Amino acid sequence: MSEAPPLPTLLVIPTGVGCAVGGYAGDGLPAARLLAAASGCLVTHPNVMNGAALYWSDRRIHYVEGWALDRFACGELALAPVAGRRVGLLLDAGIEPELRARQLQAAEACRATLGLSIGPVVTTEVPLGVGLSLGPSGSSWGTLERPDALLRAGEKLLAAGATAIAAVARFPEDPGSEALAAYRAGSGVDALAGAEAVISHLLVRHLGIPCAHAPALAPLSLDPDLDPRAAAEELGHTFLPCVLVGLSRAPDLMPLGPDDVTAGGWPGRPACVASASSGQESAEAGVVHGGAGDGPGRPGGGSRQAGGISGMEGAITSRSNESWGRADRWPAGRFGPGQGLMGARGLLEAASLGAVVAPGGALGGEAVLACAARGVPLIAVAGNPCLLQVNGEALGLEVISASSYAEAAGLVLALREGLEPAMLRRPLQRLE
Amino acid sequence: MEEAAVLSRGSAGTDGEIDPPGLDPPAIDPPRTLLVPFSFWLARAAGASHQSDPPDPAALRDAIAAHLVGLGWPGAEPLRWAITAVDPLRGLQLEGVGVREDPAAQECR
Repeated sequence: MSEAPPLPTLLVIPTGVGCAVGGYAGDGLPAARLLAAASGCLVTHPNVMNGAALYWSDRRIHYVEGWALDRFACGELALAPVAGRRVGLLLDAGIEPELRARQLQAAEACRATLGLSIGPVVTTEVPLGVGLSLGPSGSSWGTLERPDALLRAGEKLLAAGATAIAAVARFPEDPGSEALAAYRAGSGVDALAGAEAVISHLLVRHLGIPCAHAPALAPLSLDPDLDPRAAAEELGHTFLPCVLVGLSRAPDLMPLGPDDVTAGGWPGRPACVASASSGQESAEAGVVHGGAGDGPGRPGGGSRQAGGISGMEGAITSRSNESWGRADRWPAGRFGPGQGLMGARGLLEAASLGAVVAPGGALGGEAVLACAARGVPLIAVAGNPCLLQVNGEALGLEVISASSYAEAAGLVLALREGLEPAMLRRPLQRLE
Repeated sequence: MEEAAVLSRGSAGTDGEIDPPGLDPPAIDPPRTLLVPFSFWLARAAGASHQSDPPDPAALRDAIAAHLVGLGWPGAEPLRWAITAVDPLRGLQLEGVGVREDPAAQECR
C-alpha cells in the first residue's frame, strides 16, 4: 500500500510570549521534527528551529521567517523550494571587535564544516540601536533606532548577490536582571525575541528574500541550574550557526496576486536600488543576471533563478500587465522535482495547507487567524501554555484540542490518512 | 576590528568579502523608516461581524492602520502584531509594532 501524500502543515509557536515548548532556545525543534514526520511537509519559522549552535536540517521542513509566514498564510506569498542559497551576513556596527570576530568565525565554521555558501559580509553604517520592551500583556517587543541602516545594509547584500540574509545585531544586556535569571531558570519570557522578530520582519518585508536574526551578546557566567531548554544558547560564543543553516535552504518567497501587501513591489528591490551607483550596477550584472542561467538544483542557482532580481522584475512587471499570468512568471517545473506536493507551478501555497498547529493560548496571530478563516483544521496544543490566554473559545474559533505535540502529530497523521479526528475520541456523537 | 577583517578577507574566498567596495549608498540621515510600537483595545465588532465570530485578520490590519493614523502616523502599516488578550467588555487587545516609511524616500522606490 502506498504512503499517503504529504499534508502540508503550518507550525506556529509565537516568540516572546513564554511558551513552555518553543519559548526558549530552539526547544520547539523536537516537536517540529515529529510534525514533519507526521505531515511529510512542515512550514515553520526560525523561533521554532533556532537553537543557537544547535539546529536540525530536514528537507520536509520549510524555514520561513515570521513576516513571510504571515503573508504566506494569508495567501499573498507562495514558497518555492531551492537546493541551496547564498547567505549574506549583515553585522551591526554596534558590535564590539571581539564579538564581531566571533560572528565571523561562526560563519567561517559553517562554510568549512557544513559547506554552506556564505557571503559577502556587510556592516551597517551606524549602530542599529536595538531597544527592548514588554507590552501590557508581558509579551516581549522591541524597536530599532536606525531601521534605515539595517535596510541599507540589506540592500547592499542583495546587490552583491546574497539570496538570503543573516543579520546579527548587538543587543543590550543586563546580566543581573531578574528577567534574564527567570529565562535561564525556565520560567520567563525571552526578552530579546520581540526585537529579533522586528529586525527580520523589516528585512524580509523590504527585500523579499529569506532573512533571520541572531543576537550578538557577551557570554554569560556559568549557571549550574540552567534550564535545559535554555542551554543551547550557552554552548558557544554566537547564536549564528542555526540561522545560517536554516537560511541555507529556506524557500523563495513568491508574491501572488495583484492585491497583496507586496503589490507595490519589494521596497528594497526595484531598479532604483540597482542604479544607486555604478558599482552596484556592475555587481548586479555579474551576480544576479549571471545567475539567471543557473539550472535548478545547483546550490544558489534555484534561488537566483526563482527569487533573484531578474525574476522579481518579472513579478513586478506582471502587476502592471494583467495579460501576463502567474504561470508565465513561474513556469511549472522551474524549481526542480519538488516533493510531490506542490501545485502545477512548483509552488507551495496556503491553499495547500491541511493543518495548522499552535499553542492553545496563543491563537491571536495573523497566520493562525488567516488559516482558520480559510477553514484549515486548527490544532490547538493545550500542553504548551504561555502567558497569553487567547484561546479558541475566546476568539470564537473551532479548534481540535491536543494535550501535547505528540497528540498533535497523531492528529496531523490522522488528517493525512483521511481520518476524521473526532472518530478517534470517545464518546462518539450520533449522526442527527 | 583589524582581527575581524583579517579573518574574513583571508578566508572568505569566492563567497564574498567584508564590506565590498563600490556598493556604498549615500549617507542615511535623517532616518526615513520609523517604527511605531502600539497597544490598544479594539471593540470586538470592528474585527468580527458578530460578537462570537472569529476576528478577520484583514479587518484587524485595517484597524491597526487606522489606529496608527490616529497616533499621527499616516501611511504606517502593522509590521508585527497579535491579539494578546480578549475581554468581553473591552474587546481585543492588540499589541505590536508598526512601520512607516517617509513618503519622500519612497519616490525613488
